[in-house]
Amino acid sequence: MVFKDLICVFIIKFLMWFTVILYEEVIAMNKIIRVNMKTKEVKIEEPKKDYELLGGRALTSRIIYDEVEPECDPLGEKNKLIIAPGLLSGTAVSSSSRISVGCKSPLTNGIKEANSGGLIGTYLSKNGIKAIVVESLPEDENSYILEIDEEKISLTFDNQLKFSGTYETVEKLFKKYGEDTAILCIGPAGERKMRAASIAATDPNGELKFAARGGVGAVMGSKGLKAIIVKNPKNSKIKYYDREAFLELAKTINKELLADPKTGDSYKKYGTAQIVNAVNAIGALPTKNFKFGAFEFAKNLSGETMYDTIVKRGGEGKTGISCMPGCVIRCSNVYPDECGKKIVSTLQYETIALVGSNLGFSNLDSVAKLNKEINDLGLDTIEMGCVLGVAIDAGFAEYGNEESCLKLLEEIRKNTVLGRVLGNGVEITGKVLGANRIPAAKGQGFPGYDPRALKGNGVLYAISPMGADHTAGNAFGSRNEVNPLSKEKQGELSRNLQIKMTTLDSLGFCIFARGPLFKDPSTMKNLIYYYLGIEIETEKIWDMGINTLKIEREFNIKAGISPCMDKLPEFCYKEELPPTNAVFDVPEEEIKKAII
Amino acid sequence: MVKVKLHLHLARFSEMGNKEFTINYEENMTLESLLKKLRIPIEEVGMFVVNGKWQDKNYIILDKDSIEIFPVYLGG
Repeated sequence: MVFKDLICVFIIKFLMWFTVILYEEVIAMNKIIRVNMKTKEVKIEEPKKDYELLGGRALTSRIIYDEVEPECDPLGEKNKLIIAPGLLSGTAVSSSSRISVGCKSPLTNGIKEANSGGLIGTYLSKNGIKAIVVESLPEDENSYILEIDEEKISLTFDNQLKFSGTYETVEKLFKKYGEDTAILCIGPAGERKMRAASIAATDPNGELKFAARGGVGAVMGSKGLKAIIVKNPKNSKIKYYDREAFLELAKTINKELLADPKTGDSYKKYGTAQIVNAVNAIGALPTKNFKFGAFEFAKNLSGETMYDTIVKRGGEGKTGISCMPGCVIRCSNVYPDECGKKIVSTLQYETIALVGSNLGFSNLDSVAKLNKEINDLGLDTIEMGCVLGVAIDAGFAEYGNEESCLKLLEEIRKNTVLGRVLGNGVEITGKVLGANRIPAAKGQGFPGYDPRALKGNGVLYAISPMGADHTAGNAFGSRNEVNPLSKEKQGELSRNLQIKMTTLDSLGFCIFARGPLFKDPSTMKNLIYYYLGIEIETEKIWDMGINTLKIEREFNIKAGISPCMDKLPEFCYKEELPPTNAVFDVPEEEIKKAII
Repeated sequence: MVKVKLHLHLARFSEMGNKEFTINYEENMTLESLLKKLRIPIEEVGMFVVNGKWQDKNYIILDKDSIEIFPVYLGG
């Protein structure tokens, strides 16, 4: 036997040693899977009693609060990566199976939750898994795969996947593990611990969705975990306390969503890109590195143009796709090239704003191509739109020049020094390149709403424990209540939105499904009762959000993010934003109203 | 004359199905009363932009105004 063979035998034996097979323990519902990347030990635990009503963001943040030292190094051994489906994940109600990923963020240095659609929320819940806790650091350089099915949980490695893009990774993993599998994985940016790295989640069509923000992919990369595979179990562990009542209520909610032209029609056609024209109309569309709030070619980037293009080009192009099983809103799409061949799925608003108008692109084809490349690297399109904007102003690329932007992304793939700078997010990029205006709050790049012209979002970026993150309470969705340019009422508006969105993130709901839920909040109470048999008062529903936001802020303060950092970058206070010529001028006492 | 543009699914409230049309100027007509005239329920409206500027429902329409009416959005 040659030396090489001996090594192989050793590796196989080693694999058998740490591959944990747990046939019986997995059977019960609501387990927490704890994976130690140093010892390779996988444990199955009962959740604490007071985790009973926690899911999604409420659970990821609570576990971090309970188990992670706030001052720890986000990419060090003391940080943990928590993956938790929402409380109602896997149930029959539409749009309720989002997956939350939490950790201490290497981008903000505070607590982070990023959530995504896809299949994994449903499949984890069907396997009876309430959360996965990935802890410690490996002492080797292998690319690990955590595989979960109803009979076993195993941790193996596959170094052929090392540094492969997200698309190639899922293609190989589907081949190996079968099509009826949910995959969570990172790309080369995550493996190389770049702070703008995202985590990709496969959807029912095998396309990718992303838990994109806060550098969650870098934390997964630091743990040496390339992917998590969850098989669809033959026997679902989802058991309803009152199945008939739950299904009846779910049917009513689904019907309401379909009857509403917003969720029943516009989202199917135009997806989230439907808001391009509206954000442009109020002068809040990020344009050329946040120097303008409106873009002369916004119409070319609009949801209406996107829809017409997809329909006209045909081929693989498609709209009205669900990213989670049973979602009736169906806002995903496949955007094709001129020959009808898929460029990317899904083209959506935030990417169009940050990678489109913010980089001076007047056509969706360029946005789609850059989108695909950023996805494949496993990076956040919002953060990268901010990064490229700053890099363009520093002379490293040109506005509206696809080739020059792709070249910069290539630097990231090659892992050059410049690439590493860019892949570490807009704050680091701006500092290294000497930028005096960096569009970021608490270290995280601005999403697709300039905070000067949509001041409710300015308050949100400053106050949210998540930093600049629209999903934490987007004021753009508020119904004609508060003038986006006014200094008044923005604090209270943001406070209410943060509480509501955090509650949805905890239940596993997509924020687009909120119509029937907010119209009558007892609906959420009833869903919980019919599913879990636990009765709570309707007004206590929002406590899910309130309690989560409180512990998140406490964690951040202990992590060294003082209230002095509840601020926007200086240029937002003094540089007027055309065409409204607004600056961010919400008084501090108003901003403080948004603190929970 | 006043220009009106209905965005996305609000176009279904236009008699001719047109997204863009003009109406005669009337004194003291607010955006809210314009909605009544067009039979658009106010709950369906997310925001008004008049001559490129956000306005609330009490804004009094002026002759030659260009009004865009957007539906309620759920975010991006």
